[in-house]
Amino acid sequence: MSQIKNNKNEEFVKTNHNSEDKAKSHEFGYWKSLKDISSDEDYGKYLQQSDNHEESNLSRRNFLSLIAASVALAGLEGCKKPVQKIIPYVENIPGTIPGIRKEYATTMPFKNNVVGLVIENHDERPIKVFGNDNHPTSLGKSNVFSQASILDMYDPDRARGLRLDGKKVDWSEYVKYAKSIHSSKGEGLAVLLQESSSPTMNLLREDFKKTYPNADWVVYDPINNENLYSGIERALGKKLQPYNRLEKAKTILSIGSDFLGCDDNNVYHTRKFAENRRVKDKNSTMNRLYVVESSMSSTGASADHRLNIPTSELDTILKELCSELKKLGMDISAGSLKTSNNLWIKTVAEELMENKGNSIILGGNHLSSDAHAIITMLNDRLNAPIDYYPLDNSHITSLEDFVALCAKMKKGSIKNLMILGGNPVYNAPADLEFESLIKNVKNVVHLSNIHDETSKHSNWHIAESHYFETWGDAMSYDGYSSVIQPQIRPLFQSHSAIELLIPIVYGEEKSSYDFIKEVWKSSIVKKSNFEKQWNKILHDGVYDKPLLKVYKAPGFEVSSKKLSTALLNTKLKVKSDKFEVVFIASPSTYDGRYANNGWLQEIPKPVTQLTWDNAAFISMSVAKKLKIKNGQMLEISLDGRSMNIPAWIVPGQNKKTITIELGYGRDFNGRIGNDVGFNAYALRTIQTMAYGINASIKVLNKTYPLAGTQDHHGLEEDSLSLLNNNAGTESTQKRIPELVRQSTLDYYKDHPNFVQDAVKEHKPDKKRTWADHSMYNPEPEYDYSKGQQWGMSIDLTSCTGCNACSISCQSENNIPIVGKQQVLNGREMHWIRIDNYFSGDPDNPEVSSQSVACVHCELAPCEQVCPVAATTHSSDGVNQMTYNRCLGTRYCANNCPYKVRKFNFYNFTKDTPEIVQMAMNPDVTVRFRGVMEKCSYCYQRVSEARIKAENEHREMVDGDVKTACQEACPADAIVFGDINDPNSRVSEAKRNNRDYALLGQLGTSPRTTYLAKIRNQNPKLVSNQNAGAHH
Amino acid sequence: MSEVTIKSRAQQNAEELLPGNQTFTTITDDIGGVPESKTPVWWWLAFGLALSLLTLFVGSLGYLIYEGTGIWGINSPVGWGWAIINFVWWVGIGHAGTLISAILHLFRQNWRNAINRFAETMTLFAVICALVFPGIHVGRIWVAYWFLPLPNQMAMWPNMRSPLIWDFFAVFTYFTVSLLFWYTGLIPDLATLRDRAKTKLKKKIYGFFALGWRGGNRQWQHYELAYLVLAGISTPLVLSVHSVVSSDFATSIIPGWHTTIFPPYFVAGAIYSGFGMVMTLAVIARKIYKLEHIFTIDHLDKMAQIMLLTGCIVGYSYAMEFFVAWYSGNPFEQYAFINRALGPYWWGYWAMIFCNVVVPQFYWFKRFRRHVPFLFITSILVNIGMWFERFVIVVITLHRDFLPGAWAMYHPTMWDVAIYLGTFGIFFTGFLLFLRFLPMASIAEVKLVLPESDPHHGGDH
Repeated sequence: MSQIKNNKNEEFVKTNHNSEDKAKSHEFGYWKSLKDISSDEDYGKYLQQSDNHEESNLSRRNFLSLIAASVALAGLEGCKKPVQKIIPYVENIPGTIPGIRKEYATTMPFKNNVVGLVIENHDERPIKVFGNDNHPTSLGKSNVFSQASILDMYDPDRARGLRLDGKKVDWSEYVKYAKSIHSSKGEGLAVLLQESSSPTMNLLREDFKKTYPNADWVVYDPINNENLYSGIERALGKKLQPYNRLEKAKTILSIGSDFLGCDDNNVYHTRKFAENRRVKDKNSTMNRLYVVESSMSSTGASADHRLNIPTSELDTILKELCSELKKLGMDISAGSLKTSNNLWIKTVAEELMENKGNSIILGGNHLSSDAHAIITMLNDRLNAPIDYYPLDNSHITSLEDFVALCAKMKKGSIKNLMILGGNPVYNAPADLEFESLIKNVKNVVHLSNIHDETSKHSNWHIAESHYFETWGDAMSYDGYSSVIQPQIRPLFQSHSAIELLIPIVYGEEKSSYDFIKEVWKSSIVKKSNFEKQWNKILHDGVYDKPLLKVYKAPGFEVSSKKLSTALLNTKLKVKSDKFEVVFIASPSTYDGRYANNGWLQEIPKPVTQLTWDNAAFISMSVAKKLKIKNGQMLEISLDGRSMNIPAWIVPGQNKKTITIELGYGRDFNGRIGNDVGFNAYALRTIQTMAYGINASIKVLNKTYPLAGTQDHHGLEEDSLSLLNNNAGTESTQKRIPELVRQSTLDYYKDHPNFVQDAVKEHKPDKKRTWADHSMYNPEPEYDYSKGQQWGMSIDLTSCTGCNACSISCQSENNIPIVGKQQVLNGREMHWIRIDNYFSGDPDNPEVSSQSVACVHCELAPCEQVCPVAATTHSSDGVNQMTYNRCLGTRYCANNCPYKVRKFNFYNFTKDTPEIVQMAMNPDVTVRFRGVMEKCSYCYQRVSEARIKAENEHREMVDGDVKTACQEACPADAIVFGDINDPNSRVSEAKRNNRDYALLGQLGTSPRTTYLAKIRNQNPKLVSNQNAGAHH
Repeated sequence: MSEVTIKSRAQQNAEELLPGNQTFTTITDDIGGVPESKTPVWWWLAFGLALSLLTLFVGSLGYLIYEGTGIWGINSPVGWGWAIINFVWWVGIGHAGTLISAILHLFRQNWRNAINRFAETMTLFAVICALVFPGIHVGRIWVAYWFLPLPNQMAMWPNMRSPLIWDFFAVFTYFTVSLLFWYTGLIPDLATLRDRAKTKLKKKIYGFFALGWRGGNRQWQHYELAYLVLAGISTPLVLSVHSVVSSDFATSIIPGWHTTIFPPYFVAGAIYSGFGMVMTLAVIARKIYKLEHIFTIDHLDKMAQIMLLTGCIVGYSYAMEFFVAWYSGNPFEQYAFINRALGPYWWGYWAMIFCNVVVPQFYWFKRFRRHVPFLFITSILVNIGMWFERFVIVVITLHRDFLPGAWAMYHPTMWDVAIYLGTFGIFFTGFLLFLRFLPMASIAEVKLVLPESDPHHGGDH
């Protein structure tokens, strides 16, 4: 069916174009061609400038002039709304009803894993990402990267077409080049790829190896699980992919693993982790999460117990754990070791043994392969719920291969290097000096979405297709494979790695669609009714028969017997005045690949709440000792390399550790991400891929503005206040138990009504009249006891603060990005903000996260004060904004106790490039400057569902409406629905005895309520503090 | 017995309020002569300065309309900044004028007769400066007229529950009444100027505005009645306008705003700052125009006494706010006030306390009340203090309210400053034109103080 759609796109193109030539005349994509009718001279200039931009030297000056030209063009003068002419379809596209959305399944490949998705299309353009319910890894949910990926496709900075030595060439030129390689038998040929899980790619590799036995096929990704895989190989004799079945895990120990945050398979992990933390009543059980880490991650923030240990000493902890486990009767060879953390480790060991079969240890990718081998052995002994699946070497990073390739490049024996995705000049280990090596290669082909660091050194540059634009396939860790089905024709004459490889491997051109289909027909589905099956796979987004089977190792016992804790390096010690530097993936840009994605750059990162930059995370005590302020520039030197980077104080950071996010400081043609942050790859060498020890820092007498979105977390010092008192911190500390109501599971079992007891007097008293509650309204405007009344419940127990809700909201509701300076000014526009509060020891605090959006008060303070009645209530209980009535007094925002109203201080959408406007949801107004905006409970979805139900002559049922935040939330912490329907999920949630209204004492009767946070703490580790002290 | 008392009081009054041997003629010459004389050089200099400030205002306003309110320092959570601070400040300043003209008139405080014109004019221009802000601080300036209840086909009506609408009506009413009051008082003087005018044009213009005043008995009778009625209408406005302005804050839900003490406290503060401004201007004008015998030291002394009273009320209110916050047991409320005094903007709070509470305590002593340079400096300090009071209320309250996750700092930008300075351009341009073309004190009313004006003068009852 997508094939049909593809044809439709063709027709669409034709409808809009007078001729094919015209489409080629400028490459801004056919959307721009609406302007073909304009013969304005300015527009000609504009195009010229756009062309200059394409010449890949988009300097700041060019960019500004481009913007200036577009402003002049749009006739933007003064405060007038920009006038844009639109042209209706002359002929309708068959099968398309304007305004009615369509959904197509596809799959987002992410390294060697996938996220199964469904894409919402409006008038043939993809505009919103959903999780695919049918897909076993996403289970209907999604994550930050997949939600934001939509913006990547509509990135105006994307490369266009093919270029040879900077000149545009046709695809046929490339095919000629590929054929020449084919005929030369691949002399000096190497292919460098990113990790992938594509079965088609796998076949291509086999054929590549057959055709060119001497050529290299190298896979490199800067953030990878190589150590995990080789650790498993040591333990089990084979490289295998572990699949952590967290649904079966009662006790989870993470040793440096951020499995809820940036590590792989986070959607599945979060989903299953949260599933076991649903507290329905006092008889409910919960899993328990122990985390050992050096820097506060999303996982650490969700932990029930967290131990703050330098990354270089994780081996010691592991060794101690082994010795404790051995004492408890585990059959392993382990030396004995005892440290000051013994009580913690002993307790964990006891619990792991107690829940044998349901306990699991997860190691992070900063651990050595030896440590991973030991962890694999422990998991084996614990009978941990991990399935191991076969793993294809061709999919995963091999640093060894990469180094070998570099050696060959140095020798000059590589003549043709094909870099199919990836950006090694930017992200290869610094000591390989890839940038200079690449100059030794005669022909470099680089496939990338944006002309980047590597492209500069390549003579061939080919625009890479977004996964919305191309055919492909991918497979989950457990063998569920899907076809990546394009949603739209390539916007910018781009190509995929498969398309590039086909002429190289086979010496002839084939359509990638036919090729992939053939692969699936011959080696995956292998059934006679293939067409039917194929259509079903496209429809469902996943092939229901997994390609892999759980691997049962024959020599399991034998091989792990050889392992002993002697392998572990417990000698590593950071010198007293030195630090370890840990490199982590950025929750926003990952390894740098999302650097040009404005949504991701601007989303406040979990825990740190930092936007638009990376920084050196340092602990509070170090900051105090060295008198470092937030934003103070530091010079960090590690093994003779150094970099300057501003400091950011993070609670829960280890005193010995400086953590730096990778993926910033880029130098490429991205107007969003160029020169944002600091490039930490400059410090990262083969030896220090994970971390390096004995780094020194020099505090520079310079500061750098860092745009964090939260001023007060509860542990910082108020250096601006009189006498440096900490009244703000004290007050925050006092408020935390009231704002984020919380307790331990044990306390909850004894006091199941602790929340209700605390908020008793805050609940509206049914016996009193409305007038007793409201100063203004003698009676409610509408009878809220009748009809559908919308409400929401957010479970703080399962929320991990991952931001998926916020990005999903941004995509659904056309929320603009405002840039770093405006974030610094406190004007970020996100409708959902995640408040983080810290309490306890600044070096190892408890974290309370709370996502706050408009709570839709029945007695809304904002409504009373608006002088023009621009914010009012609907009969179904939603507090609504009428944008075109708003005159922008901001009084509503001032009077909002939750401060969730966001104001358009400028016309933030004025310079949104036309192509980005295509990513906007047509069901939601794009707001002009001077108006207030806020969460609408996705009312456009309510209306859509209501119309649909009416057309089908039925009542709306629970689940007909899902808000954007709800459908994205991988923890399923958000429930939305009709609170007058006693059987709805939201009513059920609100009946839970943990239900409370944030600031309920103000009497505003908010419709969004929260379920109190329950921590499942081990009583043995909270002996010295009364569990009840949590309130 | 009683006759003697009346007579001696009239004379005593005259001696106190108008020292020197003054007659109707000298008064007319002294006051009326100013607009008739040649424009002094200093006036041109001052007017040039005022005009450049006005240009600054117009320029920044243009930029504001072009770019949006983003050019200011406001953000989330501090949605109101200098614009609202300045609005409340200017409205407050206006209050002294009305108080002097209306309330003191009703109480027959004749000492006001010398300064009421001056004060009323100040009111008028201060209220114009204030009125600028509600219009320009909104996000979409071009639809600011939606504040008005204009009948329209969409039946869209302002939300009468919003204090901003009350505010809008209160300030507009105030402006209208002040303008009428001021103009009514001007009529006899305009006639005087018309009669003394030496050019035809002047005669025509003054004559037009004098509305055919001839000074007849009946005219005086009507005039006195109209003036009295207007004074009666203005009097409640003195109390109501700033009470309504205070309800912008008092009716909200935000700790630090939601408090019942605001209306009286705002009125006292307004009068306090208004007298401060009148003092500043009067000290300058009496010096420049050598009118020390009309704006006498006694006037200044009396104004200082009122400032002492209102300053003490304001100080008491600050103390009560703290007491009530503590007494309420509401931790949000308590922190709001602790944050004012000890938080990151502590300097704003203590600047306010110094200027508004400490400074007026000197007025207990006659020596300070009659020391002109001291009065001049302190009157400026009082206005700085009252500006900081509004800063404390608007910014310090908003920047930290309920949820610490939403707390933020506020930093004004150069455009905040430019627009504020620009309003001085409006004010002084208007005021200097007034000094140049109109009698700065009420000729007719100053004469009332002379014994000759007494209805019983010369009679032997």
